[in-house]
Amino acid sequence: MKADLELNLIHDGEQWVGRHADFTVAAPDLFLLEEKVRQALVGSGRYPGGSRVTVFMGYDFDSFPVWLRQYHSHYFNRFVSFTL
Amino acid sequence: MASVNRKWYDGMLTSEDWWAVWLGLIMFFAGMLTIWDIDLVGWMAKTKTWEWSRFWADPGWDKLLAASHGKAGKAYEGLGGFGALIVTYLVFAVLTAIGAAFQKLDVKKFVAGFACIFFITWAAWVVGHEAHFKALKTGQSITQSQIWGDDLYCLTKVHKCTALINKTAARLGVTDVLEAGAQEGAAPAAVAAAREAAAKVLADKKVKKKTIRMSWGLQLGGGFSYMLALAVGLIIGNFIKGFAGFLSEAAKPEWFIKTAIVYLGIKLGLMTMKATGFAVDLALSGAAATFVAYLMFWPIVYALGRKAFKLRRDASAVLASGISICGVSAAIATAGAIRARPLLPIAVSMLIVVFAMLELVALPTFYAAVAPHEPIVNGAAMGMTVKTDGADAAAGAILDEMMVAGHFRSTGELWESDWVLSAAILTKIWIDVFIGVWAFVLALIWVYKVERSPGEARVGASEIWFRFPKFVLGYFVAWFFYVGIAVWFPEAIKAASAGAKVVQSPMRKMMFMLTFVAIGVITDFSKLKGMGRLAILYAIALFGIIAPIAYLVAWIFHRGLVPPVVAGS
Repeated sequence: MKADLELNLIHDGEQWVGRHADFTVAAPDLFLLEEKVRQALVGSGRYPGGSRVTVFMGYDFDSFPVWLRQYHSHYFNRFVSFTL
Repeated sequence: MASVNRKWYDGMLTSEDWWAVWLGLIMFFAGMLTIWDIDLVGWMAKTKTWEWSRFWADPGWDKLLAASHGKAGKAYEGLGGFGALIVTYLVFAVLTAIGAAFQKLDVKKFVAGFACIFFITWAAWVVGHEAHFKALKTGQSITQSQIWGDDLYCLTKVHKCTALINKTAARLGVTDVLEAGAQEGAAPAAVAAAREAAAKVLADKKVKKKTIRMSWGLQLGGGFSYMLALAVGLIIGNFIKGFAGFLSEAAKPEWFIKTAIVYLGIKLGLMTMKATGFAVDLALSGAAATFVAYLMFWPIVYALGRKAFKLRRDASAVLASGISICGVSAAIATAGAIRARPLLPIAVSMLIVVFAMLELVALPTFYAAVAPHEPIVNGAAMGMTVKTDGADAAAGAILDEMMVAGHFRSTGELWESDWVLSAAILTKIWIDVFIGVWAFVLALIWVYKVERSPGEARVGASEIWFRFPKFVLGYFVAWFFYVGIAVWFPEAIKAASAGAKVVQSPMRKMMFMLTFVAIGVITDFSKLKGMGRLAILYAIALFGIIAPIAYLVAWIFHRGLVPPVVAGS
């Protein structure tokens, strides 16, 4: 699937944190995180109002403990589309 | 540097799963070069069965170890046992260090830890090969003890040793005398003559080298080495925690066992050629067992978690996958599919790893004792019950040795080894393969039915590939490549076998041994403290529900199946 931008996702024990070169957002659940991403995209001015933007959120598996990585090497990826 | 899977090739150089494929296939193809008379694997050290009094009378490394070369690798003979061990260490230290660097491990710590684990492993392996622990009685000692005595043991493979005795008897022209004395109700004179003939046979130089009389022997076969390695690992992991911490960077049982499973693909190729129907049957019934595991176990355990233990949906789902499907991989995959907080699969994984160790310690002995005549049932049940690849393969290896040795002790008939192990692994592999599909289905349900994100989240089919166990690719490549040679280039099979034999036997067994030590090192039983409800639910579900149903399913599909008998045994 194609995406307009990519976000690196982790969970710091309390919140989901999404990192991009231009912004970082954090929220206790993924719905709120998505809303914050949408607001960040609107605020960036990079995309005209009304445009449809697809964001790829890939979970950074390096945030898992080292001992666990030998069992599995992927958490989840997520494609979210917004109409700004 | 982040580790996000985006492209299909992501992780190919950085994940442990792929490094099992690379380490596996490097040695597999190195072994194949014997087709062109090039031996790149003959340096591999292997253990010998030794007896302590003979050793102390004339100590030497060559009594304990040897290089594994075939005809093409005669040059390696000059290495001797100790030299072969050092070369083996250097080769695997370099290869695993390269893998560790790409996997972003602390390479210095890894190299230091690997050196310790390597030599601890070989020490356990050598001790485990002492004849009083390992050696099996000769066939003659079991079936004709009135002639040969019941204290005659083999210092080599039991069917070869038994065959050597018979061959020597034929060469000395005493076969008829021996048979006459062995008859039921034979006259005392015939028995006496047979005993004299037996003594002549045993005095033969070759027979004397390969046999020994001992006042006692545990007859555990190769399984004792595995158990000893596991015990040493557990002692370090639970009582010498500082040392366990030092070894932790290199204690990678999943990496070692997945590499071993790639090597096992060669053995399965060999076994498929000899007994195609049996191998296909094992593969198909493994698939059927997977179907049962997913459709029966998961809903039962999920319902138990929700209704009886009042767990939340996400906790029940992750635990259900961990207990009923495939342990840590399934727990992480499920948690990812339902977008659970990572703390949940991490906590469940700790539980799974500890319980897998308990299963590894208890189940092989239990199954072998309860059903000594159902080897394939036991192996397949193990594959559905033991919840990590490392513990399952390890348990399968112990069970295989126990059942083959036990059957030989009681009947004098020697089953071919590694069929029980293959049953355990094939079942598990099918389960591993379908984790990605299962997680994808769960993700679809969660995202489109349960979550219904306002941001129109979508699930990519690439999630299946990212969760696919890559080491299985190496296993199938090794298997089908070898079968392909046998089918299309049969004239090359003998030459190919020389190198393949080294990879699928001493090299594979070494990776198993490393797994045993590593799995013991990383298993700290004190982690169960404070797990409370989750641990109780896990124990009830695993031992009260999964294990019995798994055994029933294995019995339905495999009852009566026994491995082929070794020719000449």
